[in-house]
Amino acid sequence: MRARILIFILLCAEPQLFAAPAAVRDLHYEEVLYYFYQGDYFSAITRLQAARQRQQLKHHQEDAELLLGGLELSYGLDAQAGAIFSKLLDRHTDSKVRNRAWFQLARLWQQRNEPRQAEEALTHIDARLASPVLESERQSLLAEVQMLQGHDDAAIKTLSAWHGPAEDGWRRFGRYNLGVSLVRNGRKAEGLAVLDGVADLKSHDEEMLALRDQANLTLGYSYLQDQKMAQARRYLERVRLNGLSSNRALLGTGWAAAAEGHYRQALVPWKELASRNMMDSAVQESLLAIPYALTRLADYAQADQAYRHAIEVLQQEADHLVELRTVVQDGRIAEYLLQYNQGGGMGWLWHLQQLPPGPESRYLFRLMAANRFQSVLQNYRDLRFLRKNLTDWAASIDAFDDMLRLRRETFAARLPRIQAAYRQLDLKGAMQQRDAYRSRLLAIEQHDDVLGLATSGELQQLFRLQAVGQGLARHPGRPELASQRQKQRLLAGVLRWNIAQHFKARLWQLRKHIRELDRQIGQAEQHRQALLRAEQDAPQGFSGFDQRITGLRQRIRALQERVARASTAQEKYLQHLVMAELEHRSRRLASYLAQARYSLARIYDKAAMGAAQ
Amino acid sequence: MKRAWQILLITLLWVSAPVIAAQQAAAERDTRSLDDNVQALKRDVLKLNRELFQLEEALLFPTNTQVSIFLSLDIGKFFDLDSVQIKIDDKNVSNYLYTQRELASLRRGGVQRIYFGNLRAGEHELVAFFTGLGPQGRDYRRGATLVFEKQAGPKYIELRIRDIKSRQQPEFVVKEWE
Repeated sequence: MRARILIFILLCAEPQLFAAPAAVRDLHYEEVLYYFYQGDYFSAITRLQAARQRQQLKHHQEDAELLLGGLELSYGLDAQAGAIFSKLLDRHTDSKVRNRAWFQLARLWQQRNEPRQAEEALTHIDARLASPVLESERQSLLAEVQMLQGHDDAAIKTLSAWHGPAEDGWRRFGRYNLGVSLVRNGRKAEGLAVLDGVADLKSHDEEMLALRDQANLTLGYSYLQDQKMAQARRYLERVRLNGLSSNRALLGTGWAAAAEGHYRQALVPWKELASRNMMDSAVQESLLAIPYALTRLADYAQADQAYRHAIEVLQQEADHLVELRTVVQDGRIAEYLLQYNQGGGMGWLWHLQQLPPGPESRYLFRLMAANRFQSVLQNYRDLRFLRKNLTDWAASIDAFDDMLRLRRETFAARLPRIQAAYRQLDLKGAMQQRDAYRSRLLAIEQHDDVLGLATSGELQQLFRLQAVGQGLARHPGRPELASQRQKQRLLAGVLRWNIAQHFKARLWQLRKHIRELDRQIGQAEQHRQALLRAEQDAPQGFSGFDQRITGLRQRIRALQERVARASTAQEKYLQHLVMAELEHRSRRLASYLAQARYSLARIYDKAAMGAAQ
Repeated sequence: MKRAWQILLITLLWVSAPVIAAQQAAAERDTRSLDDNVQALKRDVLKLNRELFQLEEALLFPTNTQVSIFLSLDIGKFFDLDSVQIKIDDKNVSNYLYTQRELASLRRGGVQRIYFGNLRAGEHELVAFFTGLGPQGRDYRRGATLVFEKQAGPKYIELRIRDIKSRQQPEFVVKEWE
């Protein structure tokens, strides 16, 4: 339920958070969502904080902040989360959505036992909520948190100004609370009149019937206190026999009758009460009330029997409590409870649902249902998770040392080999050669120097032909050499033609080779620079890691100690709560036993005096 | 409604002795003090976790050799993902079988970092195989390939499974991120 409320708030503030998947924009943000949607909030928070620090959330900065607020809230970091929501929710332009989100947040604070924050969240709501049911609940919630803070004046003002349909369930609760607030504020007559209205409500709904019983019970006991027995009985007799308030109503009815001297009448509700679960204090009191009434009716034999029965039963209960106190004192109550509640969730999204099968549950179920107990148990559970988390990291951090040592050794082993390889590589020479090739190519291109790109074979042939031509030129007057002269000219021409034909292709090819050479020289230079940087930075990097590992190891140890102390404190406090409850019950039983024994002794005294006379 | 019962139990205080209110106030202070302590601890542990997480990444996956492969999933109408296998340079680096919870998270827009590793600079080939149930519930296995250049700095690659409505088929795409 709480997880759904949390998701609703996030949804109200940023609908895109849960919209159908669109194109991925920030991988690291969507990775956080992967953990969030699985309910792994701790992993989600860790990754979100890391991504924020590395500025990897370019397109989702506001989403990320809101999500972090929700995650921190679920993790129990109320103050931080509250600040984030306050900032973000007020920016939302749709007032209906904004108001509803603030209302849900107020509900969460209330469940977290933070009435002040709940009231503050409610003040952000600037209009009636669209849904009539939620609007009623809002009014009720506001009055409730005001009452919890002891601001009865404010609660009275809120509840008096609330006008809604009379049959609205929340409004009826509101009327009850108004009655109580008026009485607490010294306006008893007004308060009782309001409660009278609630005590007479008509409904078939179980909750409303229980509210009606409660109103009648409250009125009944108020009149009992004021010694107005007839009126007290009138209200107490209206309480249903099978409701939550029935035991106290039966007890009160009996006392009202007894106060008027109608002891036989008083026995009727008390005997009914005495047949019920002995752990209830009203039932325990009835065990003494019955023999009291019998004594007043002078039925000493029955009274004697009843007192003995009461002493036996109450002593048994007292013995159970002593055993239970020993068990609770020696045992680990928190671990015992968590054994039966293994479910997921963290922070206050988790709560105790399954009671253990042992006797402590019967005595302590009310205590265990209370917010305070749940809150302390939630904290203990979260601390258990933190303890495991820190233990895992403590093991990993030793592995980090090994990793670092290995990297250092590998670096130290490889560096000289790579440096030697680079020394052998004459990069400068290669660059100079490349520049020379480039210049030559440029000159060839500019002057259209086709022969510049001739192959060595072609050049050889050309030189031979030139030599032949020169030889022929030394004999100009010899006609028998005319055909050779022609052949020489033809071959030289064909050769030049071929060279010229291939010129463009060769030019393109050479340009390509020079570009490739450029690229490889560039890469080699980059690697050399990287190597120089690594040479310079690596020792610092390693010592930087060393320091980080050392620092983090110390912090892990320090936090482990703090978590252990906090766990012990939480467990001790839980134990204290349980022991206080058991102690309270034991004291009550001791008081009842003392009364029973005293009353029994008086009966014997009376009997002895009667026999003496 | 049930929540209102808390206030009903509390309101009966007005018929009880005022000392109970004082005891409760003291108990609330105790609980508050314990709670504040736990909140402070949680904040410190979260901060420590973040730093350890970052250190672990930096040690195991130095920035210059780091490679991350992410998986994202569309609504998944035409393909019900079961498992993904990833090979880099013909070496098997990841075999992942999905739970229902993980699939639900992916369908809602979560993105999984399915592989986090190291690669040296240069050209590499990634091959991903997706196994599951295709249209009409038939067994389905498809692959996607990417040849990429690893340079200095982290490399991010996304495997996307999308529904192509016009073809009533799923599509498997590999995308490089800058």
